[in-house]
Amino acid sequence: MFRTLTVADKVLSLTLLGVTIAVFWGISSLATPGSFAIVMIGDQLAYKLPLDANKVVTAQGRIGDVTIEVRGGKVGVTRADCPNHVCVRTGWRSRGGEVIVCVPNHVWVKILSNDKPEIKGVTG
Amino acid sequence: MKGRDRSLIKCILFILSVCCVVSCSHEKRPLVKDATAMDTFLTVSVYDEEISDEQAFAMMDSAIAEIRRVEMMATDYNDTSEVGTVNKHAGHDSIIISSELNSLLETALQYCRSSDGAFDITVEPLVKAWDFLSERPQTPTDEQIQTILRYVGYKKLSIINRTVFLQQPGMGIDLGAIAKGYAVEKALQKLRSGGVHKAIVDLGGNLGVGWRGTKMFDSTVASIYIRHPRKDGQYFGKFKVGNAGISTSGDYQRYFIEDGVRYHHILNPKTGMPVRDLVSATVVSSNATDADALSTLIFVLGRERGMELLRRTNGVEGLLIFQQGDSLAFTGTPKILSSFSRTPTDD
Repeated sequence: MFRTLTVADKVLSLTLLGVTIAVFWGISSLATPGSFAIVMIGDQLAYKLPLDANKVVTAQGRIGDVTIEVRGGKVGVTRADCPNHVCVRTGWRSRGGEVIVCVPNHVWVKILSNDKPEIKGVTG
Repeated sequence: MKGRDRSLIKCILFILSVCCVVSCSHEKRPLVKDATAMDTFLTVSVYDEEISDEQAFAMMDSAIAEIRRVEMMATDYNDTSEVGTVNKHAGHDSIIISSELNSLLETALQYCRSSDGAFDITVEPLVKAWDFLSERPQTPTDEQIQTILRYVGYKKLSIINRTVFLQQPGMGIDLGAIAKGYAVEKALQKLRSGGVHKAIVDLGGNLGVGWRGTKMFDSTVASIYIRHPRKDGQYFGKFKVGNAGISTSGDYQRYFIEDGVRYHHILNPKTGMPVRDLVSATVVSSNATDADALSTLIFVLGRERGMELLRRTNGVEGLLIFQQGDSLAFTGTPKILSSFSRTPTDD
């Protein structure tokens, strides 16, 4: 049924293997989110902000505006129309999975990263 | 075909299948859903690979709905919730409550009694007076606090046959020290009942890890990071858990600084003032309800009495952070300490 593999067959097989692995790596890295922050208003995606580019955006929340800034690889809420400013006081965040939330405005910012996902939780 | 060639083909097929499995599973788990509930951020993560994405997402929705249902029962910010209704009728009417709230109140009252009021669910008037969530929170005067303290005291709350009565108008129930943990526990139960056996529920730092077949401390499951109490965006350290509820109470979660003094939201029900001893108390328990209640209670009790309570409570572990000179130090129970590692910082 099979002929003996020639040198050309073997080269072809190894080339195909290499190409396939490269394609899988490509697909894998495309599917894995980059280091960026997503800004959500309720269930709606408002902005996707790469952390390697400084930028300021404003999200219109339920009771007012929330200003989100990317600076020096970190993201933070710098101003918010909300009574307690817990979101502003949360400060700057840069690690994958970290979240800043402005509950009164239903606006939240979450960082997605390239890091290999670790099963983890943060308390405190 | 030569054996060597067959081996080459087998090898190629094996590498391809590993590639496929690795790339597919890497993409699919965990499945994560985020939401807001109980005035904080909620994340449900499912790690099971045995169930379909559709089933996992359906169960995550169900867990989120469960937390919102608990919120609607237990919040005191809403007059129409069960607790809100009880508070609205304080001093006037007895209110018949659901068996679920009855059971949660009984659990909370056990903590009130066993701690002789260091844990007290009738602190609602005090919490309102301090109003840490307002734009400009400020310290109530001594006179205001003394007046408000007359309306605080779990002994003035009676529950008989699912009928609740607060003895004085102006009194109120605040389940803020236990309800989030309870909601996390209920969400985990919901996930389990729907066939999800590897999941983490995070409700604003109240964590529930549901991982079938694991113990409370299991180095193979989840890393739990404790937020650094004084360094924004950094972690103080981490430990590993399996099936567990985890909660932290700290002086940095809701606070304001007035005249250089930090006033935080964990109040001593007897003095009406923020408790000054610990910086944070992290508790690990087999269920999230107890972890939540105990982290607050231990914070109120302070380092010595908190450690005593931890030592004599079976199945509960804790790690306490406190100020020592200019830096932070920590102590804890043996199991959590053996799993704990500090994150390098300069303190």
